[in-house]
Amino acid sequence: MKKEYLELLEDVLTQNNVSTLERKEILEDYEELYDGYLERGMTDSEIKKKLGSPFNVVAALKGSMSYEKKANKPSEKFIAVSPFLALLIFFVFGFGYDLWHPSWLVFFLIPMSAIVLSMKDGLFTMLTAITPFLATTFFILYGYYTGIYHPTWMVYLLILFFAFLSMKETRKYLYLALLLVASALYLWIGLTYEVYGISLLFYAPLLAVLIYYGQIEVRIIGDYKSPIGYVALASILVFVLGGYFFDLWSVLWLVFLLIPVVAIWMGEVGKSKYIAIAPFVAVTIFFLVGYYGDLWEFSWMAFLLIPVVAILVGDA
Amino acid sequence: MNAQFKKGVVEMCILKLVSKQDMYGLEVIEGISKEIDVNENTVYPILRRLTVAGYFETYKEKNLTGPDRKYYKVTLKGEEYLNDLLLEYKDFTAKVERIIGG
Repeated sequence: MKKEYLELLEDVLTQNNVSTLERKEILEDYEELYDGYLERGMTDSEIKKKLGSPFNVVAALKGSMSYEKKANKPSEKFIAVSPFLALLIFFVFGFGYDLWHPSWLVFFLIPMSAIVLSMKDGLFTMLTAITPFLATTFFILYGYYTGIYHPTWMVYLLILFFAFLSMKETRKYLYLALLLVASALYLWIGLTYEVYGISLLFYAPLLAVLIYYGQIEVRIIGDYKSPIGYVALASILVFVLGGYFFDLWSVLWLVFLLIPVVAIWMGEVGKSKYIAIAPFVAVTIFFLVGYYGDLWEFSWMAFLLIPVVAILVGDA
Repeated sequence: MNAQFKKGVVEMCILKLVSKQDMYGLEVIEGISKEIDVNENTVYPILRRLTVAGYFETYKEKNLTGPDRKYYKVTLKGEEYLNDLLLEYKDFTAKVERIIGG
């Protein structure tokens, strides 16, 4: 329990770019406080309540800390410029060639450049974070130009593939094997006999193993419940079932946006979460209005939501 | 009470408390929160800030019942700063008294 609390605190400090030395000191101090309360006979949940969530701890410390100077200045500049670059490309293709859809995909440049240029958590974690965007790009481009959304949706399984690869446990090889075998059987049976629905059962062993080992669960960190596993599972189910039975492949990929939205909603403190989820809301509005109303040349204005929200929330 | 004002007063109280006797973090928190309604997230950042500013120095001491503790000790610079704060505070409260007490 203490370990969990301190690990989360360390994560939050790292995310906030607190310098290594200060991070170490703060962690030692909080360990001492935690130990002190333990000595006084308090339970873990009482102590957590007393110390407050790590997010609040770091928020309270702001202003008294020094931050690590980020090393790569040029890359930061590129991240900052990427929205304008994306908008430029989008308008050129939109106004110039009436390709609003699918050229809006260039907006993925923004999160992708941020992920590639600023993440330092190892290659596979980076790939896990970036694959949703790459998979969606491929899914939409291929689907749009060929009309074949099924089984193209399987590119989304790459996210799972990289997520497993980035794990530290040796069990990951079991997950990887089950995923690959299930996908191979699913494709083979599906393509040969045209029975895709029932072949989804090939994924059942993987699902069973994941649930058994508690990879899909509601994780409780301090006062924070993180149902990410279930949200991910539910969105895959909605996407595959809705796509298969109602042929809604081209729209239902939007449910995957729920995964980062829920993660942000649970993870961020204060009003900054509204800023962080605004892009996802904007993409959803943009896509639905554009797709169903064929109003691409107007629906891009949904992206104006992002700076508007940032200004409204930022001042408060 | 105004948060900024409270923070300033709590800072002075922390300095005063530790100037009487070296203390470890939890002792300071308990000493302050016994009298004033504050929590860890107010006291700890102040302790840290005062240490970084050189008003406190710290040293480790053995603790028989658990891991070592970090003790805070007011430096010479801290003493001077505390005296300034106390003078300012007394002057201020005297004036406030004259206004509201009359």
